[in-house]
Amino acid sequence: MVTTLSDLIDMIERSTVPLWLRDQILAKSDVIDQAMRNGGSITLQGPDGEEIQIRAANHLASAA
Amino acid sequence: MLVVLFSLLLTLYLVIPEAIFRTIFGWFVPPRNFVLSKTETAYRAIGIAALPFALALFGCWYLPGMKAFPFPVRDNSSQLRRADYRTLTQSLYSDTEFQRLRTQFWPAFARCSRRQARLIFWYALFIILEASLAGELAKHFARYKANLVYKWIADKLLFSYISEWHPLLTPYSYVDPNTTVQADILCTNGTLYQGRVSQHFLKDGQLTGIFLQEPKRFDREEYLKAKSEGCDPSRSDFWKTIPSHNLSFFANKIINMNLSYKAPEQLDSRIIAKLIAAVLKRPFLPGQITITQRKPPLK
Repeated sequence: MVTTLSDLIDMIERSTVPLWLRDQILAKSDVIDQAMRNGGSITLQGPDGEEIQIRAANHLASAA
Repeated sequence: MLVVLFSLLLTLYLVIPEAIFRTIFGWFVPPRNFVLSKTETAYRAIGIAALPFALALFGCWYLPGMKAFPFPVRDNSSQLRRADYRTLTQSLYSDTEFQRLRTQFWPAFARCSRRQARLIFWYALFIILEASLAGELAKHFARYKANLVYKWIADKLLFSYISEWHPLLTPYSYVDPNTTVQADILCTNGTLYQGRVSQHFLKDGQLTGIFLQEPKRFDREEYLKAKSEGCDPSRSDFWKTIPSHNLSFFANKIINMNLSYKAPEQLDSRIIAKLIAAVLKRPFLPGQITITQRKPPLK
C-alpha cells in the first residue's frame, strides 16, 4: 500500500472542505495568521452566500 | 520430536490467536485481505499476542482464581513445574532418554498438558477481550482520533486490519454519521452513473459490489448530439433519474469511481481548523480557534 489508512482518512476528511473555502484559506493565510496572532477574527465568504467566521480564542474572551 | 512440539506450540500460541483476533475484530469493522510474508505474519502475531500472553502467564502463576482453574494440577509448585518440563524436553530429545525417564514421563506429560491447556484457555480469553476492545476502538475512530495515543495505536495496530474500502465508502472518518458518500461510477460499457452509496460488499477485504441510491445515468449521446448542434449544453441537464431504490454494480464492471463526501448542512469546524493549522503550519490547541458557519449555502 502506498499510503497508510490514516493518511487516506485525512485525505477523505480534507475533501469535505468546499473548494472555495480551501482556496480562500490558502489565499488569505497571511491575513488569517495575523488575525489569530492578534486575537481577532476574519470572515470568509463563499460564492453562494456562505459565511464562515474564524475567531481566535482570546477574541472570545475579550468580547465576553 | 522437539521440532514437531515447537511447531505445535507456535501454532497454538501465535497463529491461532492471530486468527481469533482477526475474526473477532472483523465483527466490528470489515477486515482487510491479508497477503503477508511469514515474517510480517510473525511480527503482527507477536504484537497482538504479547499483552494477552503476559497477562495469562501472570494470572496462571500468581492469581488464586486462575492458578487452578480450569484443569487444576495437584501440588503444583514452581519446582515441580520446572522438573516436569525438564523431564519432558529430555524425553523428547532422544529415545534413550525417553526409555530412561519412561516412568516419570507420562505423569509429567499429563501435568504439563493441563498447565498448557489452562494457559491457552486464559490466553484465548484475553485475545478475545483484546480483539473486542480493538474492534470497538477501530469502529469509533472518528470520535477518538484527536487523542494522540489512540492515533498511534490505530496507525500501528488497528488499521493493519481494516479494509481500505471501509473509510472510502462509508462515513467512517466522520463523527457525524449523516455524512453521505456520493459516487460517480464509470462502467465498462462506457456509461456514467451517479448516486449515493448505500451499501458495499467485500470478499476477503476486496470490493465485489456496490449499491447506489437515488441513481442517475448520464446521457452522453444526447449531450454530444446537443454539443454537435452548436448549443452550449449544461451537463447537469443530461443526468437522467433511474427509477430504482438501490442500483447495484458488480465491482468487475466498474472502470473507475469518483467519490465525494457530503457533510450535513453544517460544515465540520474541526476539519476546517485542521486545514487552517496545516496551512499556517502551526498547531492549535483545542479551544484556541473557533469556527462558526454564519450563513449556510443559499441553494
